[in-house]
Amino acid sequence: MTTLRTLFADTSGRSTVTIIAVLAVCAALCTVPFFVHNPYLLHIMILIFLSTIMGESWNILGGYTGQYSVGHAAYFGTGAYATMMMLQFRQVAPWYGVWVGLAAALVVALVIGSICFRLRGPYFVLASIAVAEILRLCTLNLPSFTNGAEGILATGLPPFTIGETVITDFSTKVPFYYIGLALALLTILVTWLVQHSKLGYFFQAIREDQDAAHSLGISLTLYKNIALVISAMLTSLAGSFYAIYVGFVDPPTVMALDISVQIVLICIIGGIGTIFGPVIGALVLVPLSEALRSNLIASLIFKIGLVSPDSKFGGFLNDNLAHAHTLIYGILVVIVILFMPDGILGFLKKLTARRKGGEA
Amino acid sequence: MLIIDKLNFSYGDLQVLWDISLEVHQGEIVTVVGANGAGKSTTLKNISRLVKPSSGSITFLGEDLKGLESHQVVERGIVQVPEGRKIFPEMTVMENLLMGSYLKGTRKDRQANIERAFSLFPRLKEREKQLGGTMSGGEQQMLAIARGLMANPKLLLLDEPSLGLSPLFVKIIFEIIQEISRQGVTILLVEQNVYQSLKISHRAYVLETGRVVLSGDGQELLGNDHVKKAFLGM
Amino acid sequence: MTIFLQSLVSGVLVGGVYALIGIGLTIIFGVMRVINFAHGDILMLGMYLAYYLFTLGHIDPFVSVLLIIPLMFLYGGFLQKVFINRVLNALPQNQILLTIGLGLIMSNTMMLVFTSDYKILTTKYSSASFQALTTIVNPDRYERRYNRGNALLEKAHKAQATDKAALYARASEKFAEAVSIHPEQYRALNNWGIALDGQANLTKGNPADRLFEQAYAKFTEADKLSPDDFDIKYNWARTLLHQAGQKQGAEAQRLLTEAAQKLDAGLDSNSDSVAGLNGSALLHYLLAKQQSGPTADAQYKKALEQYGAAIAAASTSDDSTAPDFSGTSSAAARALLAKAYDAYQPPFKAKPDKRGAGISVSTPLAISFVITCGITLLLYWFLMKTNTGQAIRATAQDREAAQLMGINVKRMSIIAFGLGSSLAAAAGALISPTYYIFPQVGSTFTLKAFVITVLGGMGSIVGATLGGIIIGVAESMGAVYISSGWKDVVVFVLFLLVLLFKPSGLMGKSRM
Ligand SMILES: Nc1ncnc2c1ncn2[C@@H]1O[C@H](COP(=O)(O)OP(=O)(O)OP(=O)(O)O)[C@@H](O)[C@H]1O
Ligand SMILES: [Mg+2]
Repeated sequence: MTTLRTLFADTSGRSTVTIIAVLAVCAALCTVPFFVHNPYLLHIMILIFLSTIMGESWNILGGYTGQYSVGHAAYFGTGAYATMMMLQFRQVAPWYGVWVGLAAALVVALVIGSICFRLRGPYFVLASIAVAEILRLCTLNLPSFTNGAEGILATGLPPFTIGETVITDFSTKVPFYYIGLALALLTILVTWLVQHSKLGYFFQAIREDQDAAHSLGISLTLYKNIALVISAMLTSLAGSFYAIYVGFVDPPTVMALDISVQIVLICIIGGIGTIFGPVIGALVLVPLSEALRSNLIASLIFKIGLVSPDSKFGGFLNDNLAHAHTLIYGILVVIVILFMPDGILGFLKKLTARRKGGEA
Repeated sequence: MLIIDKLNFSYGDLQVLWDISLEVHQGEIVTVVGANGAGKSTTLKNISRLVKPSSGSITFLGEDLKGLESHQVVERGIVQVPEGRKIFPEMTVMENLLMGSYLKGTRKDRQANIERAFSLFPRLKEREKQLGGTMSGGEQQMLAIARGLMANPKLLLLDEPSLGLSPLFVKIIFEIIQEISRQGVTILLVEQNVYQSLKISHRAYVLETGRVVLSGDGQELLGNDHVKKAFLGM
Repeated sequence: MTIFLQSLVSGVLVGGVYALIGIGLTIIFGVMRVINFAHGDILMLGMYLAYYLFTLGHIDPFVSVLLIIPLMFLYGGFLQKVFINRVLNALPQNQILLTIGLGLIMSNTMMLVFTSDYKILTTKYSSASFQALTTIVNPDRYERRYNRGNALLEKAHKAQATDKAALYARASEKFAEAVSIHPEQYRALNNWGIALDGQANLTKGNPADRLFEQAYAKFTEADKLSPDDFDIKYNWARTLLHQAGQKQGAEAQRLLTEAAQKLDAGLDSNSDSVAGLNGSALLHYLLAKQQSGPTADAQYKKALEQYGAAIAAASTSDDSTAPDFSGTSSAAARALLAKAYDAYQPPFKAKPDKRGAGISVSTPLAISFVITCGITLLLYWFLMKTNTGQAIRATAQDREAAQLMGINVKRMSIIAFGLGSSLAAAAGALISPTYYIFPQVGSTFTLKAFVITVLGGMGSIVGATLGGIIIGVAESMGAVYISSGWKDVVVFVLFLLVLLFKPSGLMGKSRM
């Protein structure tokens, strides 16, 4: 208990500053669509929000509770599919479909939890992958239920109305921008609440030493499952948001192992077990991989004159560099693990601490 | 032969060895005694360079061990028989012995060393084909010592060889240690069995919470009041 | 019974290669306690090496394996030395992520360099097979009728028009009897279909349609029993073409479309069959003639493509490439195809399956199984009998004790990772003649490797060998008795069950 109090005592000053800073950034972000009209820039912002939601959600289970799930595509896919199936097969608007997604994610999480939490360490990792793969294969092999490999294409979103007034008809990216922002803030808020509550304290105790936590009377099953449920439901929100934003889901894009890995990497690269780590991860990864995808990097290389676009190699870069946007994930994660095991955020903190230390 | 000078060591933020200085001369049996957690095993691990000291030096036959890897320390002739025996469980007794003479320089003496091991511990010969993991604790201890001797050590580090053995076995082990010593191997012994070990050793050090608090002649320390009170219950 | 044996045999053969993948992973895990998530990607590199050594260097993959093993040993050793050795004391999660990152780099680099196109390594024996265990199937009653049917079928093909119908009818009868004895014999079903087609072709109107429908049913069943069989699909397409010949308009078009679908699906696994390519070109050409506008153009394009491929496949010299028709206009294509196919009907001969009953064994799988056994035995010998092998085992059993024996454990780790990598890459090379090759192929195999090692007990080599074979058999049984879509689910469920109820693996040991 004393540790908790001291924890609050010496961070309270800092956290007020952080809160003010966060509020200021939020306000600034809210105004962005008023002067940024470029749909591509908005698209990138939306992807950053999406990655933030995914990273923060995973963080609660992986970062705070120490349960490295590499199967979060299961919840992402559950959210995405539930929303999409309700929309296309039952004509239910996504803002109701989301709740179906959340409920489905809850059920899936409890089932997965009851299987995977019997295992620890690498075995847990492997089990989480296996369960997610089973879910993907089921989605693929039950075409009468899910449309199978074809996936589901949204044929149009109903306009969002309150009473009689149409709030938005989703014809631009702006409504998605605000939804993404709101959801990202929601997940950050949830993470903050978790970290500053008894729950977070129990989670971290489990992360540091399961057996010690258990011997202190912390129920491992209960708290691991709570962490999983929170994490899964937020991930499912991300999946629902992705589905309505992109308008198409199929097993490889929302349920594959790649998605699970990407979710983990956002968190690892940014900084695991911290509130803003996933935000940093999203801020670094999304623009970098988008720059590759949209051939910005290739044209930059040409502009600097490193390679001529007409040369054979230049043509090759032009044609292929866009396909390699996940290469950046690979390179970054290797660099982070080898040189900044606490993620970019941890690395920056250490740097500033060292500088301060040097001055003192 | 072995000179440790002002050795400090920490596990993370926890310092467990403080300015340890200690010497072992050619042909001696030197014992380090101390309570549980005093840092005896840690000292041996530093010598074998399984862990790396934070400061201080360890010299063996005039050579600073700094910068060497564990396997290079073994090449120099320092062989440790670790606490808890650490037998290879999925290998037979014979294979375990052969691993003892893994180093190139020691392979030519393999046959002779195996014979020596079997004459010191006839029990091992009977169980040549048994898997290490299925042997009894005492047998594993014999195997561990025999395996250590396979590498032609100049300096043998023994970490609690009598741990968990019946009184009869303990007696045999101490006799064998003296026998090994007579064969020309210098011995640094870590023991909880203070009475027995001090009786056979030339010199001894007493370690308390990571510091050397007493040192001297084996027999002399046996008569020391502090030692009597702390270890012999007198 | 035959089906069971058939899937057992192919399962064991595939399982041998799986075992190699599993052993590689288990050695790495045993020595380093690191789960290598890049294992499948290393296998993928092995596939690409085999592919390019074959296409550029004309080295058969079963020979180039000998080159790939040392090459990938060095590569694995390099990975260990530069990357993995640095995280040996880090959290297991971080080790896992590092290998995930390395795997991503490998697959994406390959995608950059070679694009994500599927590559197919077609050797002369890629789709060859031979018969084994022929005596297991009731030789007497079945074989007599089957052989008799074949003889009649052959006679019918050569006979005068007046005798043909009767001969086809008698052949049908024999095959019908054979099938009633062994309903799972797809060869008899296939040949029955051919006989029925022969009868139908000599008839007109409703009776013809009924016969065509019967033939269709036989092919459907045969195809279900042997889904990868090219000949069945070929004969099926041929029957549909014949039926289309008796129809007009939309009905004919529907039949032709289905025929083209069947044949093209068959060509997926047998892309160098001259008869098949020729047939496919003809079908697409006929379809094109029935249509107009862009759909017709697309059909012309496809027909030309297949025509070119057929020419390339027919020429005997090795370095001939398909004539490039890519720039040909639709009209020119039409003229060219008309010359090739209208002037004379190209031979679209039936392909009765004359092989005896029994179990068909894929030649490349059988060869790779033999090589796998060789490699595994060599590995056992190395680990049990050589000094270095023993040192690797010692390191796996107790890293600290191994250090105290004077073993350079970092070097052992490098060797272990090199060994693991070369085994994965060898497996990749061995399966390259039977699998699609593309940069993302690795993740499937990584998952399989996990399943295999956990099944056998992490770190146990004997366990991994057994695990590989069990997974191979589970997959092939799952594909036959459940469906090919669900076979992976079977494997993962098996995996979870083992994880939950016997986490130490079936062998119960966790060490080498
Ligand atoms: N790997 C480790 N990490 C952290 N602390 C350790 C580690 N190993 C040992 N220690 C601590 O270092 C101190 C010295 O341990 P050491 O094993 O050297 O004691 P010892 O004298 O050999 O005791 P014993 O007689 O019980 O074997 C102990 O307080 C122990 O808890
Ligand atoms: Mg000790």
